[in-house]
Amino acid sequence: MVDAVLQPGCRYAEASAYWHPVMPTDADATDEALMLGYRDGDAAAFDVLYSRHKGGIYRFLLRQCRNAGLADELFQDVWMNLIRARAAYTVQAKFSTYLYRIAHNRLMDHFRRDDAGASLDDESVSIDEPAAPRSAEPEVSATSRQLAAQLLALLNDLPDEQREAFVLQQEGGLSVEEIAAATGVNRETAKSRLRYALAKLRQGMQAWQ
Amino acid sequence: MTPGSDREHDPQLAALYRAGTTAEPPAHLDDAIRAAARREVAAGPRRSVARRWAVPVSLAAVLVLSVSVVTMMREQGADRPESMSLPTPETPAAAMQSEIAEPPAAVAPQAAPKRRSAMPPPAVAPASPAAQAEAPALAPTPTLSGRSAETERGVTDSRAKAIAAESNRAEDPVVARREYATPQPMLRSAPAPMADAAGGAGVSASKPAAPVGALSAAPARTELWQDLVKEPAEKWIQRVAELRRAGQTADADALLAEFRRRFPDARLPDDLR
Repeated sequence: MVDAVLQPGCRYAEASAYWHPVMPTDADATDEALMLGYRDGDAAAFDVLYSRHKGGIYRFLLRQCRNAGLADELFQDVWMNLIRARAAYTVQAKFSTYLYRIAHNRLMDHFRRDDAGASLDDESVSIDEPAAPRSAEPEVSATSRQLAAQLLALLNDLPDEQREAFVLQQEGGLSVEEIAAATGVNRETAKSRLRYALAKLRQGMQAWQ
Repeated sequence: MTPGSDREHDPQLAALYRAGTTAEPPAHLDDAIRAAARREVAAGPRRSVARRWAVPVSLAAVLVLSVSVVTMMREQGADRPESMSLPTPETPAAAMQSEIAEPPAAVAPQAAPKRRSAMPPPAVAPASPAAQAEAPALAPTPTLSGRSAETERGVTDSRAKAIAAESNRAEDPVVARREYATPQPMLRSAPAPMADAAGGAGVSASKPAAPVGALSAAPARTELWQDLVKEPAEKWIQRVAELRRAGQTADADALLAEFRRRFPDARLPDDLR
């Protein structure tokens, strides 16, 4: 039997599905254990969680709303929602699914409130992608950067739902089932969206090459 | 590009995507969010506004109601001094009993303690066990344990007799006519003190409702979800849908906003999106 070191207040039953036998604040702890730790008052656990997911959530919002200023605002809202809901947190799904569902809901709220479903297709807004590369390896050649830029351009042309499915897979590492759970659709719909997105991107990249 | 790859996953596209997308949140947002997270932990468990005010508001409501009831009862008592000076009304069964015939000697003192708790104990109550032994049938001890099976049977007999007499009187046309023609204020119209008190309470519950009504006339928004605080998300969604159907859009929106705050990850049905 594994000797799990439980944090005070961390219910083993809740975390059993995702429990990792380490202290929640360790870098190796699962997201779920970290969130349970934060729920029970461990602020350091939140820092680890935030560091893990901040980039993915930010890029997801940025890809979907295509406006850096708006993405900042939504990003802050998503994390504040998570912070406010911490007391009620229980492990019912993978944490990343839970977090991306919050982000999806926040996006939907924004579009509904502003009646701005059309803003996704507004050509005037632009993604202010920072110039700094994620990794500064020298082997990332100019050609691959051009290919990456082309991929992003193709991605922007995808329908919202297909783009969302692709970005959730890439940024959140979500499976088809988790994409379905995060976006509130059934599995077949999520799979279809993802397949269409990949097919169009492949086709676009073949044509470009 | 990658014809052999999985239809739902393409490693080459994934690698290209990772190479091309580099955006990170601004540093000031990082600081703000981390600070908010620490503040939330330091603040401890937060009680909702509804929960915070639930106890004081309910206490105040109970106080207001109690004071109103007592005031109303006093006012009604002061308005009717004549009713206070009248002799204590008897219970209908006992009154009928005295009207009809003389009861058996053993029954009369047994029925007395049943009438009113405020009445004095029977004067013939024996003071000693010896006296009790002399006249056990005349004056049973008024304690609960002293109520023997015989006493119970006596009370039951007297009730049965009273009911039988009542039905006989109702069948007798002469008696019935006399009853309808002659008003009997003490037995029929004058309410018993307990009934009066109950009536007073009923009046005061409706009459002095002004302070309570004033509270509910301008409900805080929190009252929309006060009863839903411990309910699951489905109940909230159901309430929002009901409000929408009832045309209370503002309330529905307020409830929806609170729902979003409490269940940020909950899925809304299509008609509420």
